[in-house]
Amino acid sequence: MKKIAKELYRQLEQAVLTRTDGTQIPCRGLVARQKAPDHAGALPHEAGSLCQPLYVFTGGLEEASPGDRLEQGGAAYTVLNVESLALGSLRLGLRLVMERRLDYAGS
Amino acid sequence: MRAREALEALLADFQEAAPQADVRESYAQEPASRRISRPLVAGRIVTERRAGEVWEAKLGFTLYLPQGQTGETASSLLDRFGERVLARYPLAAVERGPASPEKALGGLSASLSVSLKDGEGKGGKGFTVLLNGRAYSASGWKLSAGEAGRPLVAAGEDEPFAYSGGRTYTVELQGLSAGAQALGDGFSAQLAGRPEVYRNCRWKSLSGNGGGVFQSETKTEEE
Repeated sequence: MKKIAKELYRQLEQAVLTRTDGTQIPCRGLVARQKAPDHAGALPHEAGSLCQPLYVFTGGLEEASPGDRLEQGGAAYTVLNVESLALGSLRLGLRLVMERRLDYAGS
Repeated sequence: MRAREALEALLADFQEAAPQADVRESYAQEPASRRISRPLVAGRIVTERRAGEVWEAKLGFTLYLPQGQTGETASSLLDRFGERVLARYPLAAVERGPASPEKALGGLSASLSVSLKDGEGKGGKGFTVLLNGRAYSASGWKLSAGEAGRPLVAAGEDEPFAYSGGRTYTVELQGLSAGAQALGDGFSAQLAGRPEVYRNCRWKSLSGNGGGVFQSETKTEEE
């Protein structure tokens, strides 16, 4: 996967994934904002204001888990969900659903 | 006592009981992550009702756990919170819900509801109770009335033709000042500010921390 992913994502911006154990993994990929309603802003929840919209990272990563932190272009994100990207049996990287990281209480 | 005061006091108690948790009021403006890394407790006023002298409030609390934490953690935290509620409001009714998956935050959530009534609790305003005409202080009370006497039914009939005995009134007192416990059976009682006088009362139970429950079958109203 490494070689193909490197070719696929080499034009994209550098990012750093920090695992929950502190390990840092450099990678390349694209962060895009997930479509959200026009009135999107904070989403009221009993626990507090949930950040909206969510963001999706598509890039050359081999592994990631919910709770990891991804940084790219001065912005930091918390990984909420991880999906594999594959073409048939060929693994092309990961798709991460993330929320913009703020100084949350409870985070 | 107001529901807001009670809510603030209990949120502070819960924070003390679980220092690792993030305790806050529900729907606060503060941002929250969908990926919490420590327990989060949100509390709110569900209802507050005042009718004449009677004040009632129901407070609701929701405990959110980070992903990976189990229902046992929820149960243990709710135990601690329940103890704190009863330490502050001994006559409060505490109800717990089961832990269940929480969609937005991903982990488990569990609820705790607290029902309070006027004058209850150590934190509430103290009041006076007159026992045999002598004033004693107490921090809370709860009044309940039992069913009207035992039905007397004639052989072969379904409907009772009379009831033996009258209705039994039970009064629970909390934080009662010393001395009252020494009263023998047959004393009279009146809660300050209320017209009812209970006569021929007898202690049903007494506890060392100022709690006492007495019963009476005779209630009269003073002008």
